[in-house]
Amino acid sequence: MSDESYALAIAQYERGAGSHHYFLGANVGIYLVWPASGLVGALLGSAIPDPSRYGLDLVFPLAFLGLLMTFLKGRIGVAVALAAGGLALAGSFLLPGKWHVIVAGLLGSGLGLLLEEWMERWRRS
Amino acid sequence: METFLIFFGMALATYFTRYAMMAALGRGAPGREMSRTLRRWLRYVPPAVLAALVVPAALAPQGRLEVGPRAWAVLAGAAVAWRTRNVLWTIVGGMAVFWGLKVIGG
Repeated sequence: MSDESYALAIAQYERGAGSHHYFLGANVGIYLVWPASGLVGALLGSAIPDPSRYGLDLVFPLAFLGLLMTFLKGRIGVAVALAAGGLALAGSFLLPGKWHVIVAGLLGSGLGLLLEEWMERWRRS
Repeated sequence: METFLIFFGMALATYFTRYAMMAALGRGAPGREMSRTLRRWLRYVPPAVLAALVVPAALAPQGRLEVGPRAWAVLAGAAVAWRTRNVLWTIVGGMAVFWGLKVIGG
């Protein structure tokens, strides 16, 4: 299980087309590609002095963005993503390392839970 | 040698942090079904974490606020993602805008 294959599989479940076969396929795929790419990088990596010059590091956020869209179905999902994105941006200036992702992830998903509970209570009353 | 010790240590850390949650929440343990509250909370973890990964990479790639090619590329990627719901097209669209702006901007 890796971050990317998990995100891919959970997005597929969200679309109603997920299965453990899909999950396994995503994981096997990354287990084949990851070491192979690592080997290529170790052998040829020094030929590309700075990958960020070509923006190749941008591929990861773009892939996550593509997956994010799957989870923006309801208004709560959109609110959660906006809140977590804003919190993560602010946190990236204030917190060391990658803590802003964890903090924004916990607070953003907690907000989703609260909103859903509130909406349910509001509808019932 | 130290490098390999770090590899090994991180492999253990990664494995057990992942396995611990699956073991704690996994099926097969009667009476251990996830509560409704926990399920609801977990459902919002993917959008929260994905947004938390994307927004700083778009608007603060170097650790400070900057609306540059990366921001426009991610915005274009968002439009493509919204229209196509396809991860590969999102990457293609975003990278095309990024490289286009790099070529124009020098």
